Amino acid sequence: MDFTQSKRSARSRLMGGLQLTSMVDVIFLLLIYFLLTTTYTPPEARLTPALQAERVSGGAAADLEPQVVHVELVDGRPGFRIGERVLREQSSLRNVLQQLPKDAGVFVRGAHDAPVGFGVAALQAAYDAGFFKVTYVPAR
Amino acid sequence: MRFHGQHQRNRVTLPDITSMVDVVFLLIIFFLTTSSLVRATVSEIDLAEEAGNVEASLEERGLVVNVTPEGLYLVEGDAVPLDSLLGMIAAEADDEAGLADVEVLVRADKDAPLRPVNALASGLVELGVRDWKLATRVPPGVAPTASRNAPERP
Repeated sequence: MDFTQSKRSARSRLMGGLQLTSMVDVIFLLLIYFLLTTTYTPPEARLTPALQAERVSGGAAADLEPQVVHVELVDGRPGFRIGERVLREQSSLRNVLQQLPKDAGVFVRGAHDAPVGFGVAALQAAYDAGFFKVTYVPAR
Repeated sequence: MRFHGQHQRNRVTLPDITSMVDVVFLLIIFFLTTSSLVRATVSEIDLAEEAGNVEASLEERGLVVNVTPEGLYLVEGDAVPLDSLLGMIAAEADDEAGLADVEVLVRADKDAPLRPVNALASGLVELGVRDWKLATRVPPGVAPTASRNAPERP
């Protein structure tokens, strides 16, 4: 006589209320739903430049004259200008900024018609060059 | 012969799925609701790919302003004119600390002109807000710049 079979059926009859199959089905459906509907958000970072209004210069110049990086359209193309020097690449700007004294800080002035990407690139180049005092000056 | 006792023990171990299903559905409703809120706050903006100088925090306070390629300001998915936006920022001011503790995160599209960002920045200067941040997207393969220090305020 096979007692094990009768024991198993008796046990399954008692535990028969628990239907895991449907529960697993639901969980897998939910998993698939969330996998399909979830949008991947790329990692973000922050730039934290100080903010200062543009001033019309007048009177005596300060002891430490800060460097100003102009972000503007030069000959119809966006670029960076330091004094008379026009740079088109962020790496070139970074190399130039690395050679400048860091104590006075650097000002980045963004022209209205220049793209945001170039303004952000100028700020990033200033931080990468080792400046700690980075200030954004919005054009009037 | 103790068959009766064994039967009773087996009956006691039967789990009740009803409460578990209740909890699962409550969790689903919670996640569905909160995920839609996050999506409304952070619009899909094509940010400039830069490493930044500080990492983005999960517990960022303050107002998130999205700037579209067309130069529109979006706050929680709604287009807001500059005057109203500055009014909203002013309303964030604490009674004691004033606008000194107000944080503004600007998520501007990389192809947008700087004009709306400049207008917002000028408005922030006039209000007295100094704590603003520009959002960037960390380029693939570049670690977020956790080691860099935040700049000193001049």
